[in-house]
Amino acid sequence: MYESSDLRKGLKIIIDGAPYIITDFQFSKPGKGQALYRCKLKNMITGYTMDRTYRSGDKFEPANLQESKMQFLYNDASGYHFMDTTTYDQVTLTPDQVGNARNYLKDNMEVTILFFNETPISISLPTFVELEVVKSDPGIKGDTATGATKPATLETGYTLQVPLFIEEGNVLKIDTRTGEYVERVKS
Amino acid sequence: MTEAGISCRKEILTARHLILMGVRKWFLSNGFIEVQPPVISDCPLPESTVDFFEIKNTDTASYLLPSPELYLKPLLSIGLNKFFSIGPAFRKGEKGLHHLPEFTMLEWYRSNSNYYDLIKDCQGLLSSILKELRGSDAHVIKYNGKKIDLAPPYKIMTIEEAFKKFAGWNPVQEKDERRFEEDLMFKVEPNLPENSPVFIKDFPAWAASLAKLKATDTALCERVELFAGGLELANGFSELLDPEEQRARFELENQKRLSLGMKELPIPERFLSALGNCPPSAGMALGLDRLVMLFTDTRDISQTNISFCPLRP
Repeated sequence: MYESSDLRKGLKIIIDGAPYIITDFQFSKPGKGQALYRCKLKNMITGYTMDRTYRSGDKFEPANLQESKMQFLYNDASGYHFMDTTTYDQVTLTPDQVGNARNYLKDNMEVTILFFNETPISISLPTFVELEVVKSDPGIKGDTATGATKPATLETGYTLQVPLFIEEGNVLKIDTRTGEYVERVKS
Repeated sequence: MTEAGISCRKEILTARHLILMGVRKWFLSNGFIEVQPPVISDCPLPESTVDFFEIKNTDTASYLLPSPELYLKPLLSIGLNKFFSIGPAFRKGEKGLHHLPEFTMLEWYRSNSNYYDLIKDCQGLLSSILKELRGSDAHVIKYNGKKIDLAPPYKIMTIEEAFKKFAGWNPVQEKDERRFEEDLMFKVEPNLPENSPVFIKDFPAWAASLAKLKATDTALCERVELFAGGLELANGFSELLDPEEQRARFELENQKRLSLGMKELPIPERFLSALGNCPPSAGMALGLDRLVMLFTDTRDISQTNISFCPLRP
C-alpha cells in the first residue's frame, strides 16, 4: 500500500477499482491545518481525468500494471487479436481500446499491450511505422507549389495527406503520434 | 543548479541578507530583543497537523523543533515584554513549492497587546524590509507577474466574509474541518485581492489552536493570518492564557493524533503553568523563506536559502 506521502507525479494507483496515473501533484498545507496532497489523475482505461485531494492517513493500492510485447494477428467482428510472441497467449481488444492505433496496425506488427490485473487495457505502437500506399491519384500536373499535398490511402485503410510525388505501391514512414507522413522509404 | 551544486542565486542570497537586516532593524527600533530558542526539544507542541523528526539521544525522546512557540511564550511570564526569534524549524514530510522539512521561522511576542497590534507589526515590518532592499520609499513589488502595493494599511477580511465570498459557505456556523482547510487553500487563497496583502481574521473557535476566543463572540477566536501573492505568510493570535483551556485543546489534539495513527505527545506542563502568569499578549509566526520568495519574485521556496540545497547530486 502507498501512503499519502508516497504520492508523486507518475505514480499509478487504484481508485474505485480502476487504475489511475497521477499526472500532476501539489503538496499544500494551510497554517495549523492538515497536509493536503492535491492530485490530477487520469484513468488509464478510459482516459477520464479528475482532481482529488488526499490527506495524511489516506492509503492507496498500487495499480498492478504490466506491459507485454505482442504481435497483431488480425481483426474481425469480435475485435483486434494479438499474440504474445513468447507464451503464444492470445488477447482481444475492442475497437475503443485500440482507438487511433487501428490506422497503423498491419499483420505481424509488434506492439506493446498494457495489462491491468491481467486484462488488456490499452495498446502503444512504435513511434514510426512503415505502410504501403494502396490508392493515390496522380498529382495534378503543373501544380509545383511547395508543400502541395494530395490524399493517399494506406494498406490499413487509413487516408492521409502526402506530397504529390507519392505513387501507389510506395512505402511510407508514418509518425503514429501525429498520424502524419514523414518520408518515403521505398518507391 | 550552478556548477558549485548550489541552487541558490547570488541575487536571492543577497536579498535574503537585506531582508534579515530589515527585519532586525524594525524589531530593534521598536523595542524588541532577540532571543534564541533551541533546535532540539524534549516536548514539541502537541498538534495533530504536524509530524516531527524524533531524535534518539538518551532514554527520553527528543525532537527537532517544529515551532519555537512553547519556548517563547513563557518568557512573557518572566517580564520580557517584546521579543523575537529567527531560526530553523522542522516538520517531517512537508515538501512542496511553499513547504520544506526545514524552514526558517520568524516569531515575535508582545505583552499588553492583541492581534490588531500584530497587524500593525506586519505592515511595519514589510515596509522596513522594502526600504532595506530598495533604499527608497517605493512600495510596489511584483510577484508572479502581479503588482502588489505594500503601502499600509493592508486589506482586512474576516474568515466569514472571505468564505462567503470565495467558497460560498460560512465555517463559523458550520464546522467542517476538512472542507475548511481545502477551501481555504484552493478557493479562498487563490481568489484574494491581488494588488495588496490581505489579513484574514476572526477564525472559527474550533480552529483556534492557541488563540484566545473573542470576548464579544465566543464562536470566533482572535487569530489572524497574512496572505500576499498567493503565499500564506504569517499566523498570529491574541494568546490564550488559560492553562486549563489550553490543556483541553492539547488533549483534543492528542486524541486527533491517535485517530490519525500518530503518536500521542507529552503535555508541556511547564508551558501550561507559565501561561497563567503571562500578561495579555499577542504573538505571530512568519515564514521567513516565504517572505524571501515574495520579495525576490521566487516561486520555489527551495531557492531561498543555502540550507535547502542538497550536497548530493
